[in-house]
Amino acid sequence: MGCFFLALTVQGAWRTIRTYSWDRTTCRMRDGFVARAEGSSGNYEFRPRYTYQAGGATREGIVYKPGYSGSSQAGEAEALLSRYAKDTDVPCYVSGDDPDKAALARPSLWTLLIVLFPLVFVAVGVGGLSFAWSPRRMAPDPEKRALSSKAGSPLQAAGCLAAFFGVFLVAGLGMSLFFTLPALKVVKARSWREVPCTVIESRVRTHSDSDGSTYSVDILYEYEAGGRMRRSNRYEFLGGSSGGSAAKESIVAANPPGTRRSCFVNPENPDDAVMDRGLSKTYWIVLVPLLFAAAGFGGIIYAFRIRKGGPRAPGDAASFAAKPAGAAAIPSGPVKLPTPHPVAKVFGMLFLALFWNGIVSVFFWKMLSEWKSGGKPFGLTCFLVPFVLVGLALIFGVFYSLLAAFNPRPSLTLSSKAVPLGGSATLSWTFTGAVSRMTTLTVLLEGAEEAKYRRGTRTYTDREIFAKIPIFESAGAVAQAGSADVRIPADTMHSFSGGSNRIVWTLKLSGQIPKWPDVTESVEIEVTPS
Amino acid sequence: MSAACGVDAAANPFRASRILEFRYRFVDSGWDALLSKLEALGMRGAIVGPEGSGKTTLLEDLGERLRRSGRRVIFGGVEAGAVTLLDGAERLTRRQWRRFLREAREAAGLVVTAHRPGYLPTLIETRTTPGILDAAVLAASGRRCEGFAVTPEELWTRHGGNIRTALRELYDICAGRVSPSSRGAQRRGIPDSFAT
Amino acid sequence: MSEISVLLQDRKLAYRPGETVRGTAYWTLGGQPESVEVRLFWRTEGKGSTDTEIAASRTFQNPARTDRRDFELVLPAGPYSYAGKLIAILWSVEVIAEPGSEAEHQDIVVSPSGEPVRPAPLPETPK
Repeated sequence: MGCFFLALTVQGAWRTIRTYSWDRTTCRMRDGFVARAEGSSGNYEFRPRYTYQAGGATREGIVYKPGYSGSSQAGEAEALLSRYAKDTDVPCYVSGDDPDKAALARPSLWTLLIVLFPLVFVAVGVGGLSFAWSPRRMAPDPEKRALSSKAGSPLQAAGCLAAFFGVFLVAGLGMSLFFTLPALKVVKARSWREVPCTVIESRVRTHSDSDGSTYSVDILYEYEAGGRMRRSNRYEFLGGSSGGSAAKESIVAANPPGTRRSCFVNPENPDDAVMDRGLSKTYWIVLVPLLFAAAGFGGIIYAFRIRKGGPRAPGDAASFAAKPAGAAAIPSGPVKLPTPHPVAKVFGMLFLALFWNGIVSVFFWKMLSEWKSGGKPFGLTCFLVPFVLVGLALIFGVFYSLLAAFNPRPSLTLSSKAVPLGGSATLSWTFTGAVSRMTTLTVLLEGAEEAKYRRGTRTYTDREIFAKIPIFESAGAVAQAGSADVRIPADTMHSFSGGSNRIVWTLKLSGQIPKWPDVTESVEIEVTPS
Repeated sequence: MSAACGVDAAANPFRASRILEFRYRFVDSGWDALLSKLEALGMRGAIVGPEGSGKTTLLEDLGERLRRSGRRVIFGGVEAGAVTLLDGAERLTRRQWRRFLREAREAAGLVVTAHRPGYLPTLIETRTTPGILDAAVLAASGRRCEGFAVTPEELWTRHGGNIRTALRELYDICAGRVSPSSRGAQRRGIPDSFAT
Repeated sequence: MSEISVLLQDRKLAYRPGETVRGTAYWTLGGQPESVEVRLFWRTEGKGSTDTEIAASRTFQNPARTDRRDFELVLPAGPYSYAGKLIAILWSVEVIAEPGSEAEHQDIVVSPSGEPVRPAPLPETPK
């Protein structure tokens, strides 16, 4: 599929590239106007007329740019009218093969980047096929194989995981640009000049495709700027179209042809104008793509965090290299322990709930429709039950995490980034929020083994706690701040990370709040060899 | 006798590296019949069976046998004159499978594993029995299932015939992590896709 | 038929982190080797997939078909040898000859106490 689209885009790209071989010459502008294109697009097109010398004769041209189809913004077409004013000499381009073919401008080479898009699919397809078919030879004699080469656990596919989440990040950021760029213009437009303008045309424009119809406000107005009358049809900075025509109809009804009102003009570019420079509530939709981008960013961070736990080569700075006597093996100084922000947890749960229920709801509505229309989709219903239950649990999880977001939040500091076996460090905490709601506070240090294994195509992690060391337990009311010594026994095991197997030490803070989600925080600490 | 073995992970008879050493046990038939059938099928066939029934183990053992008989063997790839062994044909899409078959025309043989028939003529259907599970437990630990306070039928049924997961439960019993009587003595692991 | 063996100095099998492992590698191989290497490495055993890492290694120059070579390899600060329920960490010294990857190894213990670290049983939770 990627190769098919690649062929199509390469064809278009070739046509663009060919125009860059045309001869540059000078054209004399004879006339120009802005007209509304016929058909459903209704775009505003700049239509020039110019003359030039080629092949020993004077010829006339009417093409602005090969492939040009106008713009939904009248202001853009009007700006071209200013740029290519009547009776001025302007540079233009003539085809060497056919002197009757000329244009005032050539398509941008940036459009060639569109060729890269199907290349991504081609690359993924080739990569996937070659990965699936990468050959593996039989080892010579398994019984004599060296133990040191019997590594059963490959490095975490951090790259693939990061690429997966990278799609969310790129897509989310890309989609959010649709809203953040116009929002930036709203901010800039606060310094634009207010001028009187007159409405010439006013209608709700319908955009129809196979998915249905969307609507946009299309008000053409006239104003004076830079010594002449100009036209624009930009109502607000957030362009495009959306479902629901009622709100747009009311805007159009409030601005019939002949209405005199104010509009705002860019002092640096008189063709740049807008009728409403305010920030409408539609802009809040930017939160949705930002949510995706945040999830993608978080996923990439997670992917590289788990990669750090992979096997290390000798000499690697992160490995347990023997250090010369006297060298400081443990970084000193207090370190703030990272704890996830509760809002991040809420967004995480929300994203998961939206993602899961979004997919399940499609099948759920289909099932409901079938029941309503008299069908008896028992199979689909039974199949959906566990998925719907999980979806409900996720929704509950959103509310739970939302309540928990209002809990007092601890800020944890450990006096040393890593604690050696037999050593100690001081854990300090400070709560923000109403700590008086907590009836008890306990801090526990837990040591656990974690082992990963595969079952079919999925990976599972088993956990075995081998140490539970009480660090602190409140007596009476919980104070806003406190501290306690974290002592690591000398005869236990240090932190370890081997890829599929880990030994982790976790500080667990728990504050009980009656009839409310408890305050819980867990943070891993590094316990080093003594 | 206590079900727990009183040993650490390195000595646990059901540790991962030990399970990887198990070779395939035939319920009926044997190597001679299998190799004869493979020849009769023109060196192309599929090992079919449910998860944990020994398909991968059998494929690896088959590869070893073919190699010792003088044939070149290659896993997952295609080389002219070599026998191709592919584990998990169901992971390929239909298009990938068709393409793989075209590429494999120049291979000297092709044996795949799959959960269901239809990829290539069925060479053998792997299946397990409580007896096979019991024999595997005996080979690994020197005790039969009863030595771990569980019958082979009960263990085999609880895991749907999946020897691998049954042995993992015995790992936990041997390590003293669970008691054989607890019905929660299986699938203690959390899938990584749901790990918080 | 190849024979490879590893003999550690003073038959010492327990080491402290950072110590030097000294010994001799002996071999008689079926053919002329391309390389013979001694490796100090750890591996995991247990319920999870095996991890392994080579901490130090040394390649013997111009190995003969039958030969003996002394070696010294320095242990890193960790990981300690460990014997848990899900995970065990084991150290070994291995001599490996190519072609053929024929090898022999000797297990050792690396820890401050000379014994693998074993977690103490957790106290029973009151019901």
